[in-house]
Amino acid sequence: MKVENSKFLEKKKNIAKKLVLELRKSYKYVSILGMDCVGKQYSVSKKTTSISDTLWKERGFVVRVFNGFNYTEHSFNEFNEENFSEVITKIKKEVGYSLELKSKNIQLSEYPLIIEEKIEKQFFSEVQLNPEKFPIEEVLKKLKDLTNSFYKFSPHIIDSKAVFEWVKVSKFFISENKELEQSYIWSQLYVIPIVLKDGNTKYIYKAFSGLKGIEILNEVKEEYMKKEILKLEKLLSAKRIKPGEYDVICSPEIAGLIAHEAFGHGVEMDMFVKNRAKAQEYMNSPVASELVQMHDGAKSAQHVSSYFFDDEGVLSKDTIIIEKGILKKGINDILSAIKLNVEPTGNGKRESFENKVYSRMTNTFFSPGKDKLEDMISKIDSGFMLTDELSGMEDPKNWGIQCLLLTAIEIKDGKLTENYYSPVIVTGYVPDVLKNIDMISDDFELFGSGACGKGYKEYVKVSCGGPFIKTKVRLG
Amino acid sequence: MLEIIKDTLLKLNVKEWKIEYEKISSNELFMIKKEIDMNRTKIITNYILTIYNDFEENGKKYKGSSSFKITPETEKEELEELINQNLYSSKFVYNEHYEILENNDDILYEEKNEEENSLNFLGEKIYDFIYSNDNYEYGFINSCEIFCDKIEHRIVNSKKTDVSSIKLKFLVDIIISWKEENTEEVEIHSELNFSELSEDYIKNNIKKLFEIAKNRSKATFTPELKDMPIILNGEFIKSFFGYYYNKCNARMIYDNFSQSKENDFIQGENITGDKLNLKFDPYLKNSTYSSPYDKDGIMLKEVEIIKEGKIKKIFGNSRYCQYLEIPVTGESSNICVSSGKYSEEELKKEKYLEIISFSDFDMDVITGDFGGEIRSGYYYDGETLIPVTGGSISGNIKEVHEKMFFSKEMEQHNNFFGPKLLKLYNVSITSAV
Repeated sequence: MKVENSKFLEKKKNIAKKLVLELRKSYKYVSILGMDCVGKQYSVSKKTTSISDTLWKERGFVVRVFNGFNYTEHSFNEFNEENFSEVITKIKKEVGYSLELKSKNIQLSEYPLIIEEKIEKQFFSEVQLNPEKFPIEEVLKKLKDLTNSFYKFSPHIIDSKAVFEWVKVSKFFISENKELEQSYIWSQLYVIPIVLKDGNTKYIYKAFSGLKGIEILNEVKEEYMKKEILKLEKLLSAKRIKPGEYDVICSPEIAGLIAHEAFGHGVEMDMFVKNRAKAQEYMNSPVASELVQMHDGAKSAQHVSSYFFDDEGVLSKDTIIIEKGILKKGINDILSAIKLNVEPTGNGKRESFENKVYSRMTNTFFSPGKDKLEDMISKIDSGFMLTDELSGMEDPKNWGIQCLLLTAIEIKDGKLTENYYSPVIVTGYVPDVLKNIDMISDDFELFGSGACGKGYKEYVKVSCGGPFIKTKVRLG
Repeated sequence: MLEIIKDTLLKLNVKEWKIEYEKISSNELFMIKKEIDMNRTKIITNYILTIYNDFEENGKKYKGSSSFKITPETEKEELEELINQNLYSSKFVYNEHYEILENNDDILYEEKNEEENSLNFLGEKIYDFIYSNDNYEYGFINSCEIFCDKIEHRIVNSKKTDVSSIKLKFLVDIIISWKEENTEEVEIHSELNFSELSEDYIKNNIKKLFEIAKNRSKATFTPELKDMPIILNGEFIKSFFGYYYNKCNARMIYDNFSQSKENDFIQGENITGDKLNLKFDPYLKNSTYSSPYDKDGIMLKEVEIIKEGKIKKIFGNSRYCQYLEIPVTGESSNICVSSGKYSEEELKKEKYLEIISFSDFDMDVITGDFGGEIRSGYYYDGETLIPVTGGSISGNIKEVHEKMFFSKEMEQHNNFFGPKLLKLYNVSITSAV
């Protein structure tokens, strides 16, 4: 089923073009991004149900203007024939303000003019079951049935929660040379069983996501949840890990988290402009084992961060960041690209039309290898299998890595044991972690249920993942 | 727009509703070193409408609800469609019944700032305060973002509640770099959130960040340390105490995430360290979360939640307090914790590991697990203070809270006012070597 364009944006296209024409009389570059994202979040637990708009819902515009030195932006969500002149005046005032700052001896950094090729295109994705047209009562029933089905797997479950969210993203990008439109739908489902025993509470997030609609609700299999809930039971008596360096196998989810935190954030090229990324000094140098190939791109995979053009009207690409262990390329927004004189990669993303663009990840992953998981486990005398991501944090300048995980399962004499450890902090020096990768499985999975921040803000939708990887890390 | 929404609700016979209005006017400056890299403004207006729907099934009363966003560009026809859709949805939401409370206080709360000036002017002032300290030989401001927001907020509901406020909110996101000869360049990232423009507050914080960056540049890897007390510093203490705040929240109790009851000893019964005193203060100065009313429009006053380690009051919003059949306190995110019996000097007499900055400090408010990677800290070996970096700490609050000490000295971190230092024992330390 084809995703339909936003009727709101269709109505606003002409006035947006009029604004570009009007401002072009005064400025050498003008663009406008219109966004209309709609969607719902449904949450069901033992005692409560909630229905609300998705937090990603937004409807508004952002205009970017070349002020002669760099770029000025204005975000707004009231835009019609009645206030057209008011919007123009406000933008002109803000451009004027940037020049006023210069007169107060505050320097403005300088950027080249954005040069764009002529292009006019529309892109609309497809979903199996469009959530816009699916009965609400059926969604809630599916979620309720799902959460109710977990109780039989453990006597210690005190609650189980399911949260389903879908978002239809519609955008247009209009400048003198570009007229682009796109609409696509992504959705995600979290299931969270919670257990309590002897005053000790544990819970686990299991997430499902993709460029999908209602069909995602059918992806939770009973056998899978039974296994996860039995694991949760074991985590109730999990021990704390003895701090140290260990041989580990990272599940695709944790491999993805490492890819994301290590060389995802590390090669966001707005960091190069600020001289904040150590990766800049290592371009075309070995940073990982020869087995490692790492990608990022809205076009690299079909997942929650697969779009047709980014928030600056740059068409999506597939960027190979690491090839055979060599750091090849970074990812960028257009301002970083023109400042650094490199090709734009289509990674300019905003949290919303209210926010600035930064260089951001899309779908980031390690490519699969040739090894079998069983062989990888058999190669470890003493170590751990790491699963269940909780959070991560980047350190692009000093290449530290922090990942917080829920589960480490002990591997002894080449076999997985029943010894569980929780929670676990993975730390290390990024090149050490990547250079120690000596086996990569032939599996592949992407995860796109979370949101990625830049520092502690600017959250955007991303996916990450890959195969199982075998390496050495410090655990605590 | 507000009147259009109200008229449409009346026309469609919606009996219970709440409208939350917010208009944000913002000025934003983005710097690389001292240069302005981009200037931005925004003017955004949004309305969040919640529709409630009472119904009965099998003799049991329920209150369904559904909420959604309306923008100034939502047309009348679309608004009617949205209200009808959400009214229909609310019929499938089987939540235990509760009442929408009345608030006839009709309050307009306006925070006064000494600098009653334009957002551009305030942004420039903050720029000056920040960069006036950027004159170190080896350290410099790598990049900085300044956000100045004016927020007009109002809550109106079908029970005659009409409360509003106008306030300012500032955010400084800053990266400080430090590079000495023959050492690797290091950086420290920090966010300052505040609601009052204070030259001293900004300058002192920037100065402190330069000290942390300098410390990190001289740091050696955190050594293997066994049975070493740790000292937490700054805003990480706020995350730590967030555990107790959440454990006493009616929503957490109703949802089974907390088993707390009034008069429980939340730190355990054999406390050998400082006893916890925790309250929320809706009027905490310089907090961006200060507000005289909560999300339901309920008027707030200070609530003493934990006294001498014992839970004095379970607090929460109107709905969850009604569910637990306790008095409605409303919710404020401003947390205040009392000081302890020892001074900073006394807490630092013996060997310790003090963590000044984490990559990210994580406190799981449900399980009590906490931890993070050490970006910058000090190890005191009894004689020398050694700057350290790398490695991590981890623990569970239930294993440490019977013996923990809070400093006499107090500090504020946006919506937290409490001890400057927190000393813990029985925390696992992973070395970086």
